[in-house]
Amino acid sequence: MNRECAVSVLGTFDLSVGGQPRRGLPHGSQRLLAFLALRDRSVTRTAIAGTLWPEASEEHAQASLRSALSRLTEVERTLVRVTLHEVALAEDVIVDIRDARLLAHRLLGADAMLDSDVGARAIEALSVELLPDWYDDWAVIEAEEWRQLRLHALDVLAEQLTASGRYADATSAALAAVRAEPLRETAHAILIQVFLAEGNRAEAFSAYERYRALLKAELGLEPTPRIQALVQDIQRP
Amino acid sequence: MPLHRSGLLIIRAWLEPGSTRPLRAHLRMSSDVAAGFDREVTLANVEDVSSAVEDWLRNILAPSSPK
Repeated sequence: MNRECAVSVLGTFDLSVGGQPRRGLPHGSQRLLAFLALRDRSVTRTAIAGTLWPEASEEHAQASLRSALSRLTEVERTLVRVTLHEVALAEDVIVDIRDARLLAHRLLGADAMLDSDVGARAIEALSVELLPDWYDDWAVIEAEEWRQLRLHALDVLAEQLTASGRYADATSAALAAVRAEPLRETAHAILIQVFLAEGNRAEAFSAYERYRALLKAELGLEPTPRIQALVQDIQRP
Repeated sequence: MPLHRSGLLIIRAWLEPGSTRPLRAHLRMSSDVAAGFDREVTLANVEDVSSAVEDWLRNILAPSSPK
């Protein structure tokens, strides 16, 4: 029997058991599984209850936790390890954010080496927001931390792909960083550098012009001398 | 109908060194998280950010659903 279990928190929350999606999980149980998925270790019941139900009394928060656990079906309950004081996801549960974080940290490591298989899948993983429609304090904080991590990882990935001559993937990575934060100049600079490395000066200049127009329209500002210098030769051939 | 509503404001700020106004502050605002974020904006000076935060707080104080 396929026992593979997976919890996904990138994009929407998803749970699958044995390769089959599990629908209709109560929201309290979804929040519990998502919270555990974002932790790599056991968490005390007190910490879970206080984080997931911060406005409730300790007694009510603990009751809500018990309710969330009890609403898991027998199959879903195999995903969690519950003791008197702690709760954790079972060790064999696959969690997408954990793999994505590992990838990001590997890219940002001082000795980062670009494996030949790092490409479209990595860009896809680093392009997705974490639970974008969830507004719990803990989820919002996790989402912001992930956003910062993936933005920097996408920058590095685009630069490394450029250095490897993989310009199409480099363009995708740089564009993903631009989409994530359209007014962040570093991402635009990297995108322009990808096009320049590829020898595509017209596209480099177009990318610069799009950024300049956006910056002007949104903030009434001009790009910095640093990014202007990248296309200076193109403007004045 | 909820007993009370909660607002949420996330400010992400960074600097663009070399810019005439280097501050960038991206604000995502919701005056009722049950309805999701209702406004996103990026601003480049402290006064504008302060003003946006004040407006958001006034929306929270408003007796009925804002917009």
